[in-house]
Amino acid sequence: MRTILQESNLDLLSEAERLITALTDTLVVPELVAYRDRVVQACTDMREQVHHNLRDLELGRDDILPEEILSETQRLTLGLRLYNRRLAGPILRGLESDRLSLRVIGWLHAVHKETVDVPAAVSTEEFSIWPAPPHPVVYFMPASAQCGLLYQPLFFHEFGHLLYACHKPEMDNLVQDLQTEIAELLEPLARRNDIHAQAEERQRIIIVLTWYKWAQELFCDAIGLTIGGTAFIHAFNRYLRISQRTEYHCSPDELGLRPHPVTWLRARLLVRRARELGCDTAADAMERQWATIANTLGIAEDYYGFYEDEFLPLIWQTLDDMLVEAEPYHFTEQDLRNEEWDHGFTVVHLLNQAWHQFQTDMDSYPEWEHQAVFDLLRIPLEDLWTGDPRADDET
Amino acid sequence: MTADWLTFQSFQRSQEVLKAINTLSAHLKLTLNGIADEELSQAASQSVEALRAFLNELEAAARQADQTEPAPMLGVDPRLQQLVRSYLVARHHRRFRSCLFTEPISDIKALLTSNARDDQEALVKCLAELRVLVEEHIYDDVDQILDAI
Repeated sequence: MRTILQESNLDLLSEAERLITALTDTLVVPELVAYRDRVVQACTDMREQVHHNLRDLELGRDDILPEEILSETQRLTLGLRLYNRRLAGPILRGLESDRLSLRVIGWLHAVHKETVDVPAAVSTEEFSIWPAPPHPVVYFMPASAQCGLLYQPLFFHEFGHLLYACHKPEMDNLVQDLQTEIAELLEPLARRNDIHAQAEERQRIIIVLTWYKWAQELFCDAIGLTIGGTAFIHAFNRYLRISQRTEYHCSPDELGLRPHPVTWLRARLLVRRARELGCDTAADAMERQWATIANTLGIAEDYYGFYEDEFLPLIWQTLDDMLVEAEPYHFTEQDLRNEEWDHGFTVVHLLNQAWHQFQTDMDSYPEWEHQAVFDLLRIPLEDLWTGDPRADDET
Repeated sequence: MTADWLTFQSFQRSQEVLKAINTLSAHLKLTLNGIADEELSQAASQSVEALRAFLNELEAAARQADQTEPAPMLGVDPRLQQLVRSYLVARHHRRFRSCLFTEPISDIKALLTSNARDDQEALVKCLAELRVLVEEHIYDDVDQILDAI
């Protein structure tokens, strides 16, 4: 066994060194330097752990610690595999086109005290995020969306998952309260003791458990809207309204497996919050469009008990409490104002301006966007990320 | 917008728990064999804190699930629920023999900082079985994140 462990650890050592060399030799854009440094540090830490294993083997400690050295070797194998196959990719691919998204995400992280030191990268897939602070974060976005401004606001939803992770104990408590209250609402007035009653009880448990993930997704939508204002509504609406029938309706069996609520329900709640925040015009348009598409599809709204109108006050209060806990950036009046953008304003203002330009004159939009992105990328990073929230705390 | 975030968080949590288990277990075994390792000793203190936090989570979720009448675990992420269920199944089926699976979790937390030799030996057995549980759990995450070869 000693020989096997020695060989495997030497393999790991070689692999870690090759990866560190590849990462440090790669010329990265300035926006990715912090992420690259964090990934290199993690790989260096793993290399150090491999050295420990080899030292223990040289000292003959495998007689006392056979399970520990084997388990550590397996753990490091998986850890290095994660970096090799998933987390190093955004650095090694070195795409200039990543800079736009990296700046949007960099600004987002910089204006929230929990994330100011969490480095992030971008990769290509459907919108999602891998948020496990303090580990480096990867945001995913489809390739075409990365090249323009219009769908960048959808990162604000993904950022919500990171904020949830930063406040996980408090958020989980709030979700637990919501699940308890929904369970009480679902409780039947009288209990039978037959096979149907047992099936109903199982379904009630599925519904209640489903709300763990659904609550987080609705919270992320609320975060997206609170940060991005009308730009988030437009991006959400345009990206999701036409994709597929299941965005409007799912069978009861499918609902229990869905990580997200049916998108029509998300749209409804987004419309409600948008009106609360004074984004009435965008909210009205979105509501009409979803109703029109649902009508054309011949779909009537039905969530089969996974959502009832009587849940709404509970959900709303929970989301409000979660927002208080997370304290996201709140778009300002200036962010939504239809004025030319300059770098004294925020990224949120730029994204709202982009949607205004797109909706006003679609033909000239590509040229406008090209110039806006060019201007954004010319700004020195230290001028763009001036919103370090720790500075506010000190004053 | 996929749900990979849960899997990724679960993978990282399991990695950290495994590291803490291995570090503390190695420290205890060397100590019990009269071998001093200052560097490992310092790392073991951090591992105790990491394991205490993990056992607190496990205990709170298991308390919800292990009622006379089985109850759903509320406010608990689905991957942790699966780990808790594996733990409870292992407890009820006597799959493991260490006190982690026969005594209340609060007893194990007390062992974490004990200097008594008997307690340290008991803790080593608990850590070995906890390692098996977590290693079995992490492979579901690996399948999703790394696409098993």
